[in-house]
Amino acid sequence: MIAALLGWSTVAAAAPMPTPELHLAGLAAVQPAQGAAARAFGALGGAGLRVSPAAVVGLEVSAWSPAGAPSLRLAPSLRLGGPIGPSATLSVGVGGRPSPASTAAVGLGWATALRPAPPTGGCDLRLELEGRLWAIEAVDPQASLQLGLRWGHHRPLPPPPPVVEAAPPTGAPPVTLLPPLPDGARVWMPHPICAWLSPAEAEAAMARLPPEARLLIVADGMLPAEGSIGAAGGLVLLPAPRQGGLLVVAEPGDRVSVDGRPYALGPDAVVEINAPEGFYEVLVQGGGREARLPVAVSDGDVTWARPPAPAPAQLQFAQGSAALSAAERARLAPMVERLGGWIIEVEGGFSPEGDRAANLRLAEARADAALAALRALGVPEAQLRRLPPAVPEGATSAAGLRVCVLRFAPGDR
Amino acid sequence: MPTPTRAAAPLALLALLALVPAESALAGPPPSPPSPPPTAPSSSSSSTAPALILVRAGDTVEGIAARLGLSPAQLRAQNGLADGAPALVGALLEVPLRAGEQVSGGLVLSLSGEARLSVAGAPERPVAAGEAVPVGALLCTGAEGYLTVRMAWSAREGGHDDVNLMPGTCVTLAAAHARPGARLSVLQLQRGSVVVPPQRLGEVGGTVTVQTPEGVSTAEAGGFRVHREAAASRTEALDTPMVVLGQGVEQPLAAGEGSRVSAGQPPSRPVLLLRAGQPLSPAPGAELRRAELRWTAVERALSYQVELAVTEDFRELVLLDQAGDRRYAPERLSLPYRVPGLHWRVSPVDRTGFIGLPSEGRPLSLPRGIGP
Repeated sequence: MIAALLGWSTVAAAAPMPTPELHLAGLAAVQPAQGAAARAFGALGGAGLRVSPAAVVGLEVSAWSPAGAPSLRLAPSLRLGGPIGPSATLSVGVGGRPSPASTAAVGLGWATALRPAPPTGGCDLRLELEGRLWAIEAVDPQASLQLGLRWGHHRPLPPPPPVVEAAPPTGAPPVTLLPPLPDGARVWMPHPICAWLSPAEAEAAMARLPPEARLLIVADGMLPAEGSIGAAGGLVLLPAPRQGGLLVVAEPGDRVSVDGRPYALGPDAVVEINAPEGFYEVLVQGGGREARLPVAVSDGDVTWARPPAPAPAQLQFAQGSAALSAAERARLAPMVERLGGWIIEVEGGFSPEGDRAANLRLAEARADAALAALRALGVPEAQLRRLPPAVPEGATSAAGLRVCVLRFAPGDR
Repeated sequence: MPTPTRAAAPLALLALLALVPAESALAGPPPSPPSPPPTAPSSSSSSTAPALILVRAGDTVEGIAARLGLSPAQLRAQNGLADGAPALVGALLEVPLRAGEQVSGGLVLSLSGEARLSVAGAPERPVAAGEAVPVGALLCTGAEGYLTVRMAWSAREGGHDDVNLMPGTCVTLAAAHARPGARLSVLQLQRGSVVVPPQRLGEVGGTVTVQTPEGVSTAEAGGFRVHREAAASRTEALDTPMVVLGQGVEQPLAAGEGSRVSAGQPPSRPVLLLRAGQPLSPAPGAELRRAELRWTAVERALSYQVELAVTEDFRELVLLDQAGDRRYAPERLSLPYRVPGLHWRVSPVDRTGFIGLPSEGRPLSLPRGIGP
């Protein structure tokens, strides 16, 4: 309804003036000072010319019959207001009741469109409701309410002015807004479009964007490009590096290098790298182990590599002896070299058979010997931990019980 | 511990991204760009394929013919049935397409890793996401390939049936046709495993039937798995009731039950599937930093099956692996990072090989520093 009213008003306001209008209404009047006895009914009609979008000059005739005495009135009128919506009317003229007398009336009304006029010209039809106050010479004021129809004629709108093509620009050549884009590229068009469009759609929609609008272009295998459409030289799309993520899941105390380059552990003992697509060798040292992990990093993937956990080591002793042989001592050196920040837990082994007290003492002595050898190789005291003697797990022979077990625990996080 | 890897990033994982950003995106960064959505497969290449109908317990040739408006003689002639010979329960009979029924074929909705397609006996060739799979085509996934095939596409109602092919699976698309209010897809499973996701809420029901040399499994609302074993096939009903047929016997299964059909044998009595454990870590949405998943133990579980998918409904898998204990910490793991999300869940496996009900899916995020 609002749109119809606005549209009609626009048409009416643009119509060439003057245009004729006719109206006809029924009215009910009352003379307040005389009460119910002074009620009257009648009709009102008129013709006019709309001389401006907001004014109609006309002549109206009204006739009604209060209390059995017919009254006829002829008066010029001025109606202020558009065809639709509120209006104010001033009417001054002469009338007969019972003899001719001057009259004046002011009214306020409201009109609504029943049928708007077509833009090509023609008639419209409106419904009008109007309240009026009448002053008739030597008679008490009267009030009336009238409901009627009004026709208006509208001439066709003048044809639109011919389109004149703009002269070719004489300054700098226009900027190419979009670079050549690969198939499947998408362009983010900001406000007021707010949508991902194909390059062809984006080119067509460029005119709706201000020059400072910033575009985002994405395409497979390319780095995202962002910039304003008026930027000199346009936007440049660069090939994206083919890369993936590599996460080495180490333990506290490990040393990690990738293709010979050392990396520091993160707080969760993970090394996180963005690496170009290709093959890498990850080296993890710690806890006496050295794990070489070949890893393939592919574009768009995250690859995790986890070294195996360190295995416990055993130092062998001769029967009844707590002396560490040269061969066993030599085995400790590479272990210490690959210790990293790990802790060595030393557990003397003993046989559950025979003299238990003597066996326990021997196990403690073997642990002392292992600890002394580790200290001699430079292992700090903070990385050594002594465990109570225990029967070695899984031992299947007497020799398997004459051992000192070295276990590895991750260092502090 | 096995060391799973993925051969390549999924090719159509972005297909499910939102196509039209909301007005509220004005102030924020633009949403992820969309890829063109997959198109409905063309039916022209397979428009002459007949429809199939499954013979259920209580069906007769005469009853089926009357239901379809055919003469019994016509139905017998089309399927080589002698006069008076009964239709075996579990058999698939060829019938003419009904009024309004269309053969739709299939479409590779998403693919991770490698898969191959063979049409009309032609040599196998690599298949890509978005390719049509005509009726009669053979579709095989590689040892590390995951594929979702969409079948019985009903353009009028927008319905479709999806089936996930696990790594090392070969299927033949035997039928895929749709008419208003009904769809039917039939896959012949040669080897490997297929998972039929449950129907989405509000979808028109579609019947998915998986045929193996040993028997037939069928359900009207999806939600089941079928695995080929040596001289047997195994069916697990996850979400809805279904039936398994073999040797003329129809065995109904309730949701949460499984059945095995051995060659020449009727389906086994229903086996109660193990209930899922509860995912413990990482917390929902947390970063997967140490490539380690943990869950609560399930009594009588011999091992566990771990699944990772890019969609919440687990239709697009990127990893399927086994874990012996209630922890999954592989020595190598590879996942795509250009995906809308990652979700994981775990299912217990009992001593007879039945894979139990999956746990709830948990979202994961990838380390923030990773990416271009």
